[in-house]
Amino acid sequence: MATIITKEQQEKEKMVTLVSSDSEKFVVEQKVAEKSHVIKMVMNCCGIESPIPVRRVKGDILKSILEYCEKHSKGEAQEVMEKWDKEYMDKAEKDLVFFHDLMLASHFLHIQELVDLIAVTFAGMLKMKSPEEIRQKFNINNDLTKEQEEHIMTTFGWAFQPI
Amino acid sequence: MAESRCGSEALLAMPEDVLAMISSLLRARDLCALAQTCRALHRAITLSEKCWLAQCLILPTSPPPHLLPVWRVSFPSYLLLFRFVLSLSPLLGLWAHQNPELGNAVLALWGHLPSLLAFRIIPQELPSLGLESGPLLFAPVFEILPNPQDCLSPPLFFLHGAGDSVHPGSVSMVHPDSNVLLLEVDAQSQSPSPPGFVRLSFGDRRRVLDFVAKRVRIAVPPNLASAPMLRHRDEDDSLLQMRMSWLLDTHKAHNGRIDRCVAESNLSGVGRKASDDSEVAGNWRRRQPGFLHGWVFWVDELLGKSRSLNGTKTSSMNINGESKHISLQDFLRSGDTIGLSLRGAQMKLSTYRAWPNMHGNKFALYKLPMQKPETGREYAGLWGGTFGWPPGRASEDKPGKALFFLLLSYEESDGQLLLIATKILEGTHYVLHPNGSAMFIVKVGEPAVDPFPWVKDGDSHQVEVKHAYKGEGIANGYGFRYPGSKPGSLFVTHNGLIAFVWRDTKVVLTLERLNLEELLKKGERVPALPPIANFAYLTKSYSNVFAGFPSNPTYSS
Repeated sequence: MATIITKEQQEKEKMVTLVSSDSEKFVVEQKVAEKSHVIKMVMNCCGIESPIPVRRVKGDILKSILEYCEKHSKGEAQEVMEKWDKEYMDKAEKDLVFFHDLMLASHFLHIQELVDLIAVTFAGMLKMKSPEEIRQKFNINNDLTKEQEEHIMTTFGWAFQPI
Repeated sequence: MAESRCGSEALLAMPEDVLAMISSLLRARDLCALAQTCRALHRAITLSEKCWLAQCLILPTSPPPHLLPVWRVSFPSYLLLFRFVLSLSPLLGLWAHQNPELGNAVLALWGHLPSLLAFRIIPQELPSLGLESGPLLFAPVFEILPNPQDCLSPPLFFLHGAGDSVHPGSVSMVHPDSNVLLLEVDAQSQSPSPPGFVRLSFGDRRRVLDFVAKRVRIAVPPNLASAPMLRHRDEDDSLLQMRMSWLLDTHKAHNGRIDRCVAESNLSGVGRKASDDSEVAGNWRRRQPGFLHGWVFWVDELLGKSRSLNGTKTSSMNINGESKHISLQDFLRSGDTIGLSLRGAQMKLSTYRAWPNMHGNKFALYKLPMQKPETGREYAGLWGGTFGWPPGRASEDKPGKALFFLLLSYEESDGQLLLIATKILEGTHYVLHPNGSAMFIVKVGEPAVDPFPWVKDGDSHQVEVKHAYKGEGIANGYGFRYPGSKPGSLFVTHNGLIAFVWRDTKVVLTLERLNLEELLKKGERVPALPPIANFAYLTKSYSNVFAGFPSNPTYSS
């Protein structure tokens, strides 16, 4: 959870203010913001005195991302983190639009650990599914004609052999 | 961020490197299922280079990663490269045939340029300075190249034959669990027809294979006949490329298909029955020292029977008393053209001590499953060596030691874990034990108590024995076919060698782990046999039919 902290604390720790595309402000420790390779480069280049705009990421997504970064900057035990990551992903994947935006934002901000985690979760949603199951899961309209479906099945039939 | 996005639109907006990362976590069939959901995703998945490169990289049977960009040049996309690799992967590995009894081991591996190559290891003596000093003698058996005209078409097949010749054909089908590799003639027609080749009598199969192989023979130009097939040095690159271009041009000009009418007129006695094979069989008999065994097959054929190499007979009549065979005429008429083809098939095979029981009347090679070393089963895999100590070198007083290749595998029997060393190659002048014999079998759970008889190795270093297991080694038994066994111990030394010592005679078989691919790269090519015999040598033989070089190998130390 991104924490709003007092001025005194801000003086004690090195804090940085991030501003989302919908102008929501988040004040976080520098080490939390540094989890993003992109923000780290901006901080190295421009300092942390002025708020850093994160124009391509909305407030709810940035909040969730900072929550992840904060948890991952604490250096907790691996099994604790694995449990936390699982709960974090379980929550995120319930809303596919949110989940997708989280993936794009973590990729844009270059938070490799989070991109990896989302890729694993995403792959889990696709594994061993039939085309119809994938359509239902991701709300995809089937615009293929019967002939096209048959043609694809012929050209991809080899992939359905067990490796 | 984008507004509400779901369905295909959301998936399509995914950055390609994320898609590649997800792809590396999926199997090809998952990606294909995704590509079948809608038009846009089909287009995106099939066009994604990173996605299919990721699939190539995670496929355990893929060529080494550094070769993938080299291979990619020959394919329109990584998707089609992946398809080529996936479909031919079941052919990789070690294949064998019972005959000749000295060993008929063929290794299939990826080439440096996009191809699958198969080489036969020639029974031979140990090089004077040890296996690493080489060269290992080998003969090319076949190679498979992607079809440059259309990568979705069957890959191109080239069978190698005597006199530096190639015999073009195609790969008809490869079963994902192929355990038998069959050389066939396929009759192609516009309408799909059932494969008829397997229903021909043995004599007809041999006749049509011989005819097609002879007819499609192409001599390799002298400048390429000695060109390397595997890349050993940088300077091999240009010759490898020239050779590949020549093969592709050759297949384009002569695709190995023969018109049905031409085949019919040349095989004018197509109505002949297997009895006409006696003349050919006679020729074989005259050439082969073990002709009596070969003759048995012909007699069986005349009687309408087939026989597996370990003696199990099956009738060729079905339960209604009708012949299972079709006539050569009917076979030829089932298609418009005929040509050589290679088929990877899955057949139900029984095994005895890790060696498949093979058919005597199929032009086939049989897969030797190679177990991977793992904890508790550390010695699984291919080993090579000789009789005698110190290991790996011919001594001045006894030059020309016979080189042995053994395939070590684990098998559980009566609750005991056994390590079985199957002979797949023997470099003696005249064979000692049947091909596929267990040279030794040890009980992994029973440590040996006998001491290792030698204190020092060839370099006068102290020998440290790490493990020792009790077992039994091969010995003379009731005739050639049924060897006996005598007690002995398997010793594992500190430098990774293993040595089986027969307790009473102190005869020792010393082995080192082999990297066959590396040995082949540094190896020396010898001429191949005529094409059909080069693929499957069906006549019994106890001597080295693959190489006529002088040899005087010794049996023991």
